[in-house]
Amino acid sequence: MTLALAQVRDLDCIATFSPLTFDEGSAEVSGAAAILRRILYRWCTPAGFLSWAEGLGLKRPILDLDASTWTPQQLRGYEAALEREAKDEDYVLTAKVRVTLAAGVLTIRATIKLVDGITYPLEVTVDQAATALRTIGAAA
Amino acid sequence: MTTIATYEEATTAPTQEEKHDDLLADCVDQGCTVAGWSDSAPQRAMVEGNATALAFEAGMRVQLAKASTLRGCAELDDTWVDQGLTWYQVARIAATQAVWEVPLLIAQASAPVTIGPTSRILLQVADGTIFECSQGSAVTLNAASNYRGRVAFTARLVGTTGNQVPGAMAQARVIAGPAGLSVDSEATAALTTAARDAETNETAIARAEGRWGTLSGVLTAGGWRYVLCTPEAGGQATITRVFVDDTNPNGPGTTAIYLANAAGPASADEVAAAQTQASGLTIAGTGGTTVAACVAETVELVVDLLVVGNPLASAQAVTALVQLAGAVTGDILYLDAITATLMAIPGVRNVPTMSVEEDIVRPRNGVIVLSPTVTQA
Repeated sequence: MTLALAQVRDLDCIATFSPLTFDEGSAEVSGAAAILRRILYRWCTPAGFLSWAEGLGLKRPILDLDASTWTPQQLRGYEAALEREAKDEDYVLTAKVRVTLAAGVLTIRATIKLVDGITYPLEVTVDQAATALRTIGAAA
Repeated sequence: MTTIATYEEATTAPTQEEKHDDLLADCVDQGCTVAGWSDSAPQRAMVEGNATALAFEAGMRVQLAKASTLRGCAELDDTWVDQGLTWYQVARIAATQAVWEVPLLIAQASAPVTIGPTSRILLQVADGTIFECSQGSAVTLNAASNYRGRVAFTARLVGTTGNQVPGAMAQARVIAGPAGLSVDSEATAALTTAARDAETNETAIARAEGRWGTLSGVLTAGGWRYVLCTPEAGGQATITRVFVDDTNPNGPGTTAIYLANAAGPASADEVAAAQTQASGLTIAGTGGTTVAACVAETVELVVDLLVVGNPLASAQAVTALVQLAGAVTGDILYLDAITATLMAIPGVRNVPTMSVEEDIVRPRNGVIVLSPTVTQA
């Protein structure tokens, strides 16, 4: 059975936005907000971690990026990996990710277009102090 | 909560997929919509993780249930069997090395040569097996000895690969040692101590269970097998096969025991030690028990092999066939086992001809010894 986007309903596992932390909560989230969270979970999941979906996740999940070093080519490759993960999620039509590194802060800005035709922003920053979720699903 | 009533139920584990389906069915029963859970949906992780954990726990329960019996342990792995054997205060018998007495010849120009405990001499037979000089007392090869002498060699590795046929030892090459030294092919090498492989689960369990036979007033067949093969009970580890004929073979009330090691009939020393041991035991029957070596039931086996890329295949086949016969603890050496052994040799593609066409049956007082002649094309 295929659900309409509005019918998708997940547990909300985001405990705090800044720093970005996860936990099993009882709150629920639905629709586009649920899909954007699924993309965020993918970005924070090490590749091979989920036994039922070993191809899901990143070799360098964003929660593990503190104190990492990057070349410009690596940043472009990381953008492609983030976009690929986003596009692999159901209900996603297109995903565009831009990664910038400035003054020790890595910023990931994504625009995600879902099957409802709306483009949603998703922004995460990483610095020495913490990883923080800046924007998820605000009006574009 | 369902209960596990039978051993069969206890030793049957649901799969991760079955647990997964059960959990999803539970969710549906609770009113959840389980569709649309992509791989990254959090609630899916709970189902998948719980299913994995439950399947793991069920698998562990199966292992523990099987480990409640010694034969069930054998369905797990060797380490479980080793633990199970401790219930009988029995330990698995380890593999041992073969020891040969090999006739050597020194070239006159190189004589005299004295070989002793510090000599470094290596022999290699056609299948690649290496033997190291282990001569304890000095042996001098000179004109007085006609440039000949018999020297002890021990297989470098444990296991029955050291139980070569004498013909293979006669053609062994000296790969390290004094110049001019060679194996005297006109004399015959003698296997003084047969090697054995580590006890298999099956034989270790049978030996352990045989210990029950020692608790009765007199020894049963299983009891004989236990005492004669178990070092802790005064037996000999090199005796790997004990055949008990309790059908009054030498008259009313008599029992005959025939011994073999992994190379063939038990040696004179092994039989003598077993007889001494048996004389101190309470035996069954009124007519007496005899302990003797098995009679060798030698079977000439001529085999042609079709081989790709392994020039040592025929030599390795000879060794493998000797090992196979040495491992027969029952009454029959099956033709299928011979074929399977040959096909397991690297490079063997086919066995076009084989001189034996039927299963080989062990005589009541004997042990099967294969005398293989193997060629390869």
